[in-house]
Amino acid sequence: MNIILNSIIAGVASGSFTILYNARFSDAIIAGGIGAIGWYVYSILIGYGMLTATLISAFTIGIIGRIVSRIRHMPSQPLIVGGIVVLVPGFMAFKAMNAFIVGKNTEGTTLMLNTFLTAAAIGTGLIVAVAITAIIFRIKIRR
Amino acid sequence: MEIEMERALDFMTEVAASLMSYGSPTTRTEIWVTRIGQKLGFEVDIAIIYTVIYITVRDKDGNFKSITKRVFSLPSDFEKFMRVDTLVKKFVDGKIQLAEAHLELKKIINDQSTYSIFLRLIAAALTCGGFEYILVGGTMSAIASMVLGAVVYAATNYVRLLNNRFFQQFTSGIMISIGSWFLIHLFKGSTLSGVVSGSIMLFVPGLLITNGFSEISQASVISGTIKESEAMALLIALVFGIFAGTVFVGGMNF
Repeated sequence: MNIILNSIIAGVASGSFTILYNARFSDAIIAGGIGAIGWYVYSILIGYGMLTATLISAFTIGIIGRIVSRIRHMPSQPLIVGGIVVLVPGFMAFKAMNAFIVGKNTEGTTLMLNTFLTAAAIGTGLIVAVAITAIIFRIKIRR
Repeated sequence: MEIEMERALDFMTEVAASLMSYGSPTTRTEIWVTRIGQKLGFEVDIAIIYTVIYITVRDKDGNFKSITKRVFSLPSDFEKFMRVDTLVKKFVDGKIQLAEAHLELKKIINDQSTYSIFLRLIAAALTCGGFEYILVGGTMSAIASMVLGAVVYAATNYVRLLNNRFFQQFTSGIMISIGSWFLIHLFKGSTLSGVVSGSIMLFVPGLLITNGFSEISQASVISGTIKESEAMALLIALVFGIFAGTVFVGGMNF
């Protein structure tokens, strides 16, 4: 129940964030839905480690974003950006910088490394999703 | 022929500059500009290094023209990005001619359509509150984050004393630290780390960090590295702003 509620809230946050980038309202709603699914996947996989959960969640968001954008004949960027925003390690990056400034260098280094690894996991998940969907779409066009 | 080349280069430069400033990924912009050139019968070399665009077009006789264009602001506008993207697609598919496409592009660039301030503030509040709730938890802290996030968003976006992103981040940090200190006394049950964590989400360049990594892995190494560096600098400005704010409120412990 808690996971579902959090996913809905994550969806609202994603959709609202997309509106701040002046996306169309219908796209913001779809981005919100993708964000909610992404957060749901992340929450049920968090037991396997944060990086695994982030990687698979980003991959899911990438796949859904690409398929929906294909159906709607639009670029996938607005949908994917809205969807992944709940996964981006912004707060972690802030905590890392905060630790460096107060002199907790070991904690800061660990947090900064985690921030980059999380960003790398998101990037990798998205790139794999884009590559797989590109191959699928190409096969479909040839047929 | 030279006039044709000049017109083509003009259109390609404007397309590249607008796509980049509306939030298009570097790789996508480079592909579109190359296709426009090919459609017009030119060979195109393009390199986009974040805010700088280099384009060279070459005709069949070997004559060439180059241009360097600097994009000064990258505010991201998905609505305009989609309109430019659709326009380019129509042009590449041969549905419209160069002159018509160029005119349409200028119309899109000059269009001022956007959401109202009220709607944007609600969106900012929902974003901050939502992030606080899923990342930290606590209803009161989420409500306080919503209030503070909307206020700081309005202050930094609609009261522009200086058009400098680092100064904007720094002042946002100051407002967040002072505002959160006041709000934890107003919203009983909210926590300082909760309120700060929700409110900073609009200003933390997490997306820039992720996009930078994506670009590095898609062979746009310089552009990606610059984005990572910018994200770090923006983050430092925000954190220093928060620390400067603590001077006024007597120190904080996150």
